[in-house]
Amino acid sequence: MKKIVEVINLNLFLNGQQILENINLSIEEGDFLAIIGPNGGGKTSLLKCVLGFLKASSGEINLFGKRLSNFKDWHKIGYVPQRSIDYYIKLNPLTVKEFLELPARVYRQKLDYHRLMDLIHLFGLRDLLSYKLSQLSFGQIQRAQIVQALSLSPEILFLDEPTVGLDFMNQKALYDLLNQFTLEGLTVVVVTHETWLLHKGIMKVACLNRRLYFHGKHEDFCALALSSPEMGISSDYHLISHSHW
Amino acid sequence: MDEFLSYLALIKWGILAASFFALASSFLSPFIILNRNTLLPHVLTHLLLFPLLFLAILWPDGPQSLVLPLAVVLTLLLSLFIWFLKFKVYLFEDTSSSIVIHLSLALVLILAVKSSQYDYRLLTFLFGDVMLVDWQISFLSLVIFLATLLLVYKYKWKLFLSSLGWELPGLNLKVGNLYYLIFLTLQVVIGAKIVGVLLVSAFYVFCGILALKIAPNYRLVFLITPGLNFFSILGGMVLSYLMDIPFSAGTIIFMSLYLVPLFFIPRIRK
Repeated sequence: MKKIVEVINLNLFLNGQQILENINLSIEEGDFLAIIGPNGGGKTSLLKCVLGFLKASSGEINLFGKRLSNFKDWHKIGYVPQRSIDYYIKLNPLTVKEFLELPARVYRQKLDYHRLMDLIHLFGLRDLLSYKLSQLSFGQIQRAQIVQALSLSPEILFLDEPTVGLDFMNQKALYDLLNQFTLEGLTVVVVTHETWLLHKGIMKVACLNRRLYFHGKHEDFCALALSSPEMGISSDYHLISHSHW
Repeated sequence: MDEFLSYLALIKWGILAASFFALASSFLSPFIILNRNTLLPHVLTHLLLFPLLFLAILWPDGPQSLVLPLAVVLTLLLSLFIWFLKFKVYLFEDTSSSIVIHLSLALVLILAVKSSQYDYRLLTFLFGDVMLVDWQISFLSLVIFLATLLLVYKYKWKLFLSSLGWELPGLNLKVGNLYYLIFLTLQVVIGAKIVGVLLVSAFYVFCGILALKIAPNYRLVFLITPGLNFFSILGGMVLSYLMDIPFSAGTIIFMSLYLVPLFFIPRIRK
């Protein structure tokens, strides 16, 4: 399997505080990985290092076999950030169509409108294209963000806390969809602190709380979580997750 | 009519310079508003006072063509101090601005008292005077307008992302932000010379607000804002002539009419 992301001995200090300690992690093509851990555990910081938003204090990050500093093909990476209140600024002039086209314009890539329209239909955004972002609801913006992240047919999709604010049915629908994308060849990485949300489609789990406590198969994690509550994961996790799915 | 035409002849370079400044400012205005930073041009006008007085004392007979670029550089350095306080000392941006403004004004006061000098050129920056504007200032204003146009054409999306705090993987927004600050400083210095320190920042607020409210999409914001800003110059000129008031004040009064639809048309207000 081709390694898409490789993190080697990564350390991150912010304001004198160590956020990430000696992280070693690799994400292979076709993986559906959940990065879980408590609040403040460094999940989003790790994601930000990988996506180039934060500069690691030491260590190495490789994307598609290239050092992060030399990596240029950022259009191969889709990213759904944690929802920001800024989307709701009343003065935001961006229409949904412009929002979906944004990565293509910024990365100067040709947009496959056929595929984009398919995604727009799939996520039920067809009637909203001329709406301004400020007119959309919470859930509609979340869908628009996912379509935007997928608009350039990325090879890997990162989602940071994608289920926050979504009701149970929409959470399940989102994970089902991500599972479907994985089966079609997309590599998916979800950052979440809601461990009970771990979907049966998730193949691998990385448990992070400053250090990487676990990185392996989902079923192995479930077994370990039950036997080692000191990992910081509730032992209820297994029961809850399996009763839901 | 003849009287109006002779008035026009008197202020033709001023009107031309003001028009180019209005167009240039309109291209940065949407980013400033979206960034909730509409007081930044106002801050820069305050910072500008110190370099102007400093240069007037140090170099009383200095030609405008050299004094203005030096004023830009010094104002930029002072404005970078705001960024330093914000990002390195972790203060809020308005707190940082307030500290630097007061420091700058204190230095202005000390310089003015200690040197016991009064420079008439300072007054032209404080209140602006379209009648004193010559072809050189108009040409400079045109150059800044064209350069701003290029900047916005090249960095339109990055400036937009940056103004809303949005991020896309691997995107470096720092260069665009630095250019944005440099161009804003350039505009404020030339704008202060034309319409005065006291009113220059209004060009970044009134028209941009209405454009962001009524534009059906992002692209049209960059057609509506320059149109409204340019129209304000014409309106201000007519008001100034009819009511015998300063041109810059007439322009701002005219601009304030743009807010009327926001009060009375709920569809726009939303």
